[in-house]
Amino acid sequence: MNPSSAVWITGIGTWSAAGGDLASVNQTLLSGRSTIAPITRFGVENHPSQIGGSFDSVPCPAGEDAEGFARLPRLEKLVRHCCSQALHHSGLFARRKELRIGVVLGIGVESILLWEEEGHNHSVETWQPILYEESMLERTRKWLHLSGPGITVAAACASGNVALSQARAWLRQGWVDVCLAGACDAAVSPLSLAAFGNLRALSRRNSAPRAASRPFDKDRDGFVLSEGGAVFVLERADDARRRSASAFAEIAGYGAASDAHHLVIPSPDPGPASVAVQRALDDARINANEVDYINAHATSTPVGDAAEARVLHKVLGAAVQTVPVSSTKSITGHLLNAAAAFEVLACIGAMQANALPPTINLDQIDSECALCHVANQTREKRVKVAMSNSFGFGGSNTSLVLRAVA
Amino acid sequence: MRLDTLDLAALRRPPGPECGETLGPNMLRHCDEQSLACLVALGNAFRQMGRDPKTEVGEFREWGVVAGPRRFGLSALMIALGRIQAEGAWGISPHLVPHRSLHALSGLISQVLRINGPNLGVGGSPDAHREAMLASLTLLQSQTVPGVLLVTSRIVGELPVVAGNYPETAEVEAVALVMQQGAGPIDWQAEAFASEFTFERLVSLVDSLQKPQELLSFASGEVFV
Repeated sequence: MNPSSAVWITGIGTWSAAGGDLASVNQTLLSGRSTIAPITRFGVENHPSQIGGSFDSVPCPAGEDAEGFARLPRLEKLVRHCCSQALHHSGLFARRKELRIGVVLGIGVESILLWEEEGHNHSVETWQPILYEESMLERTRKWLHLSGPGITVAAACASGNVALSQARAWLRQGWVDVCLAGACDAAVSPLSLAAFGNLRALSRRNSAPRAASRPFDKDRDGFVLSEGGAVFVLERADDARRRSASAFAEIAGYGAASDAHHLVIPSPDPGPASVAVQRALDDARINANEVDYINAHATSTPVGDAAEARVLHKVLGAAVQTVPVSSTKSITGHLLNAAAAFEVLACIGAMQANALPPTINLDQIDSECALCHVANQTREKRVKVAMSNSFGFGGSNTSLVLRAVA
Repeated sequence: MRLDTLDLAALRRPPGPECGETLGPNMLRHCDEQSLACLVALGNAFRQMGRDPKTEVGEFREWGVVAGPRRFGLSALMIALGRIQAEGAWGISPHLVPHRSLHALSGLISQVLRINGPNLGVGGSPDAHREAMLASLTLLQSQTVPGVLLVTSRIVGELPVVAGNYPETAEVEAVALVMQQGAGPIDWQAEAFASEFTFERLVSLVDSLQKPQELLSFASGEVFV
């Protein structure tokens, strides 16, 4: 196998408050319409943050038993929907049993979400670990009749980028013919809302939900919890060409590095995160000034956004004045483990529409976050190369470079 | 290695596990039992290699860290579920996410050993050890890191647990591997792909390694599915 062979995205599955496919998500992002609203699925009266980017239900995949699907945990519904939709979208669903299809999913707290849901919804007080002998990943592989290897990875907000990089490596090493890769999170739950809220990481702008997520803005006060998923079908470019598949982007570069500083707070030294971004550029064999659009990690926290701005200044140099940057979390909130994968979707959307989604609510740019912002309004621009940064708790810094397929 | 409740309680007191930077009292109090056990196992692995686990960590600065704990965060979750039902949102510790999410263990190792290479959590499920092995081999074979520190762990017995409580008899078992690409006595790749690669099998393979330096090796080869 060729360790540097091109790997393409040839199918997309997604679900979130922003939409259920690439077109609807892109429409939401390019219209700059916030998806944040008061949380109504459960009581939030005593929570410091009471808003989120949530949804009521997940559509049952075609051919699935609707009653059985309805009984699945929320996270598992998301995973099945996204994986199934991605395979259908790629045109490989009917061939999935004959191909060696692997799965790499970014999922941060599977057991916690499943147990929490069971406890809250069914008042179950005793948990029997033996009932969870098979992981959600295994159940999904069996449900889809996939024969390739599977893993779940967790690098907090960077999980999706890690998943895509692992899947690309598996394809290059010849471990799989095709790989499903992406991330899902169903984090708008009482426990998550309480834990992040008490960590003082969440915005408390409860009276103005649509204005709450405001990355790079001087008045930002934390991120907004959100949920959803994005899963992609990855193939070696040669294989995709051979079957005349539609290609949405090439996974052209990836870089990762750890802060080794703190479990929650980003390093004040932009060095480690800069290494991750530079590695992604080097891996894609491009210079910083060749990037047409950067989808920033920027979550709307006072510390994190400024730290990312320092990283971009360090890596881009003079090009920081001209390379457009936006944070789509201003529109969608923060999908946590699913954020990186979802933001790959935003980059693909920008390539397809030749337009950059804005950072909304950017009324007064923080002086520590001076960048070439796409502020509040969509900007027309041809996008051949896009970068998506994702930096997570645990000091995980990742950057992904996507290249349009000619 | 296996730690019982008393061992784990002792590890929560200073100086804590002997592996890298000393954990402060707050970290010792809030980190997961499996984190403590994995740090002890990693310290033991360094000692087997003739390294001082407290000081000589600079050589691993660019290595990858892969952590595959099984059912991570269980004990804290049980307490949290009881508290949120009894006290509401304010009963939930802000330490829950940083210390008990799947990414927390690899992040902690990265921090205490000052490792700037990539760190990632893997699995969390009953197959965590196998997934951690696959993720480690992926990192090694893509040649993006000089080596990988792998830890994997589980709660022994996995007793039924009740919201608001946690079984006192819980024991934790942890394995640490220091891995670099090269010819070695065990074909880890074949093992990781095999469905019979259980946690017990991993422990027996590690026990079968005769010389400490063999811990630095694994066999690269073709694909096994």
